[in-house]
Formats: sequence, structure tokens, C-alpha cells
Amino acid sequence: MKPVMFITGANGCIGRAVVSRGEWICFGHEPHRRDITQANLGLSEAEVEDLTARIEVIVHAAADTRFNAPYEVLHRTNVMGTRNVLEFAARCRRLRKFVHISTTCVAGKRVGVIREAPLPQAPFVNAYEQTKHEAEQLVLDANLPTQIIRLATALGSERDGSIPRWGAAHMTLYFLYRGLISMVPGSPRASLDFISIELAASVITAAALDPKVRHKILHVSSGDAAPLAEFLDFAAERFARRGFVKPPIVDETTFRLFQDSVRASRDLLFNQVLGCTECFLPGLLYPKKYATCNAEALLGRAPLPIAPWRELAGRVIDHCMATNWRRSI
Amino acid sequence: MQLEQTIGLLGVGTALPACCLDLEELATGGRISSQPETLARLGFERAFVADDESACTLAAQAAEAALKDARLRPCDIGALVWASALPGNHLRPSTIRSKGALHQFTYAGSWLQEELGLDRATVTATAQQGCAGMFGALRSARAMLLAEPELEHVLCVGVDVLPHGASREILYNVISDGACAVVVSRHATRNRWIAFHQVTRGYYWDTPALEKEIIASYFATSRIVLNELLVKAQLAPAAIECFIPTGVSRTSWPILLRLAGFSEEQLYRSERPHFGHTIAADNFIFLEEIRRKGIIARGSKLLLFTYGFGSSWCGLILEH
Repeated sequence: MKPVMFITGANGCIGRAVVSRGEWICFGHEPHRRDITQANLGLSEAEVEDLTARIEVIVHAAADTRFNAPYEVLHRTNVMGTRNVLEFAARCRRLRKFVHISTTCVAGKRVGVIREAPLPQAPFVNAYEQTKHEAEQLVLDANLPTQIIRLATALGSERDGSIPRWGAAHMTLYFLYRGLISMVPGSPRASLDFISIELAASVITAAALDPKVRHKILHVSSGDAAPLAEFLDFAAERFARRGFVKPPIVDETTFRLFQDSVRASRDLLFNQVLGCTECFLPGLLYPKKYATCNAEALLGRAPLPIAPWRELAGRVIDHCMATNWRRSI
Repeated sequence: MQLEQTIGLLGVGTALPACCLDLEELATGGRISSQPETLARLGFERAFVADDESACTLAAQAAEAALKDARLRPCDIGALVWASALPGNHLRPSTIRSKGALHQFTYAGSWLQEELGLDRATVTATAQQGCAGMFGALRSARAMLLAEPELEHVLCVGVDVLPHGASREILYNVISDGACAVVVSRHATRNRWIAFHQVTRGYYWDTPALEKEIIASYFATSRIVLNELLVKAQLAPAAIECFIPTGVSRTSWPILLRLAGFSEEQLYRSERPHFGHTIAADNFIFLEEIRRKGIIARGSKLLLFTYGFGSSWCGLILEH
């Protein structure tokens, strides 16, 4: 029998993909569009009474995923919002699973192998990482059947390359295509870790449908991670664009000098490009690999059924070029 | 010693206009589009403006200085190569006022030959390389020496004077007027030619339309050119004693040096107030300064690097 699920962020990139799998009972004709930053998620007391009596599974996918937003703004949605959803969950009398959608970015500036386990606070590349880490701590501290799924960057659909919602990675790809990325900060060992939306949705669905919390934390990460240098070569070939010059991969100091130079020029376009990229590309200076044993155990498949990165990235790039880089919202 | 190993830069001369405007004066005169403090942050202080000199005047001054530096007489010069990025600077106004197509053929190179009495010199010119024009002239001069046994000395003269009242800012760089001249000789006793490398990307020919792409591609292509130049010279970055930059934004050089494997200590930093970017003459103003001061030991390797619209990236390694 299908469980009754309550999902936050149902209109987001991941939420929409989860809902569309049809493994759930949805009540009402319209989804409940409410605000998780409000007490009781902005629901009336009557609505809360009704919902908490029926909900069996909560998938908390709502988040502010802007890498360049200030901490205070992100904290409101990602931390306070999570607190509100947890308080709501605590009132759900039939709740058997609370699935919190997190990000592999919570590893911050760590390097090496990242285990599917709680992570002590470490330096972060941006406030998004920090607030998602803080949200994880709330979830771990809650006395609920919680499970945390840390997703790598969901680049797009492995079927057709479509992108439900543009993020910083897509904007960076766009600026790269236009030849506006001068350099990329990164370790020589850095890899890009992206997954398809379908894979993310399938793991979340499997976790939500599993009545037990076998593992507290799972990683959905690309075992076939794309080495940064190889990815840049691949993108250059895929763009098939005259005049494209592959940006060099540079160390932290060089990138900082470049940032200072761009800021000093006050050039609007380059500051826009920098504003988009500097909030997450420096993460490539900290090469890491994510363990995925728990996710593999959940799906009963090892390794995870990951689309080869060239296929996924190729489809996404082709889709972007075919649609003339129009942003899908 | 083989001929290829004896060719070098025997004499260097430069000339800057007398008039110098600081950033505030340039702003007041509407000659820069960025705020003065923005350009100051990029290392600029002032611009030399040829209000009272022509391109020909500056070229003649630089050429005379180069001949003197090389201890040569005008009759020793077998060829003259004129270089300028701006089409207007390839012409000298006629001595008569009239109209007609003939006014398009009053070549400045020929005027200079006559003016300096370079009676044995043939005259040619290079263009379409923007700020890399002088590098193109030197390359041509060396090729002439290799190809024509009777030639001993080629005088290259690079000059750029912006039109009167023109903006002094291009891509966040403050532009000065100026000239340089270099005598390239078959048997040079200093600044021997070690290696030259140029990459041209015609894709960027439409400078106004591709301004941003040009800026973004600068570092990546510069790094490639520098690496390939070092391979040609069979040298490691550490073998370069002195990296001679142009006068473009000072903030850009530490970035490029790190990218290409050089250290900041290798960068030549002039103690004179920043003169901005003279289009063709910067590297040679610094080279002349280095020699005059005697601060680099003979036999040291020097690397001169520039970028010019077109787009051409050029690097030259000399043995001082």
C-alpha cells in the first residue's frame, strides 16, 4: 500500500522528480503551497491536525540552494525551515520516516574519503554548505526516525539532458560556453561530482519507502566522478565552438589574485561571472571522494546505477545548446 | 658560432612625449571612462600625451637614440621596418594642402629614412598586430638578416600616437603615446636572440564585439604561448633572470607569472612612475632602462612578452 507522504520543496528540481514517481498518495488537487520558514509551515491549525493524523513519510527537500546568498538569508530557509519541519514532524502520529535531503557539500573543505556519517563542523566554501551542515545537526539531534541523503550536484536528466532548475553549475557551464571563464580554481586531483535527477529521485524514493532506518546517512554521489581537466577537455569538444580556449586550472593564490583583479576593474560582466563561480568553484581545491556503501545497500546494487559522466554531461550540454541556453525554471 | 646564434638587439632607444596627465586630469578631460581610483587600483598613475609631437617626431627621437646606443651611423642601416598599430601612424601629412588619393601614400617610414639619412636602407612596415607590432617587426628583421647575407643591421621603429582628444582608456588600461626603436644586428654583442614564439587567433579579429571574450582568454592563451616559447628555447621558467612586462594593468602580471610557472621575483618592476601602456614600446622602454642601469648581468636570459589585438600573443627570449 502506498504511503501518505508530505514533501517540502515539491516544486523544486528534486522534489518534482520524487513526486512524479507516483509512489505516493497525494491528497487534494493542489499541493499545499506553504512556507517552511513560518511556524507550523504556514498551515492553519485545522490543516495541521488533518495532516499530522495522516502523514506517514516526510521528505524534506525544500532548501535555498543559492551558493552566493548571504548566511542570514540561507539560515532562514535551510536551518530555521528545517527546524520548523522537524517540529511539524514531531506532531505526526503515524510518521515512520523523515527523509532529509542534504548535500555532499556539507563536507566543506575536507579532502579525501568522506564517509556516510555525521561530520564535525569544518571550514566551508560558502554559506550554503554551512547552513546545510547546521540543518543536518538538527536532523541528527531530533528524536525521530530520520534519514539524511546527501546528494551530489544533480546536473540534469539522464534521459534527455533537461534541467528542471538552473543552479550555479549550469550558469558556470553557460559562462564557460561563452568563453567568459578565465580560470578555474582546483586541485590537479579534483573531480566534478554530478548525478542525474533520476538517480537522486530513485534513492530518495527507496529510502522513503523503506520502513526501517537502516543507515542514518547516505551519499548519492558519482562513483564515476569526472576529473576536472578531463571535463574541461570534454566540454571544449562538445561545445564545438570556434575560439574556445580551455581555462587553466589554478591554485588558490592565483585565483585570489584573479578575484582581486576582477574586483578592481569593476567590470560588470566579469564581476557577475565571478559572483556566480567564486562561491562554489573553490570547492574544487579540496578533492574528495564520497563513500556510497549505505546507498548501495539501500538499492541492493553496487555500484550505484550511475550514468557515465560523459553521457550525462553530454546530454545536458546538448540540451542547453539546443535550447540556446534558455534557462528552464 | 652559427648566424642564428649571433643575431641580437644591438641598440635600443625610446621616446615619450613631454606632456603628462595624471588620472584626475584625464578624467576631467573626459579621456578615461573608468573612475580614476579604479585605474589607480590597477596600477596606473598617468598617461603621456603627444599634444606637441607627432608620431614621426617620436619615431625619429627613438631611432636616433637606438643608433647612438648601437654606436652606428645612419649609413650602416640596411633596412628600416616601421611598426604601428594605428593606420594613421603609418602616414605623415603631406607638405602641401590639397585633396586626392595621393595623400594616402605619404608613408612615415620613407619620411624617417629621409629624415635620418638612412640612405642605404630599404623601407618596409608591419601592421595589424596591435600592441605586438614591434615584436612582428623584430621577427621580420631577424628573418631578413638570415635571408639576405648583405644585410648587417636592421632598424625597427615602433610608434603609436592616439588621435588628438581620443580616449586614453582601452580595456581598463591607460594608454600613453610613445615610440621605441631597436637595431637588430647580424653580430650583436648583447641581447642575443634565443627564441621567439607567436600565436595568433583570428577568431578575435572583431575586437569591439568580442571584447569580453578577449579579456577572458588572455591568461589561458598567454600561458600556452609562454610555455611553448620556453620549450622552443629549451629553458625552464627558472632559467629566466628577468621577465619584462608591458605597461598593462599591474595586477595582471603576478597572475600570469604564477600561471606559467614563474615567480614574482622574476618580474621586472620599474622604479619610474607608471607611464601606462604605450601600445608598442613598453617592453623596450623597460629593456632600455635595464641596460642603462646595468642591473642585469650579461648572459642572463630576458623574456619579453606582449599581447596585441588581432589577436596575437608574442614572447621573445634574449640573452642579455
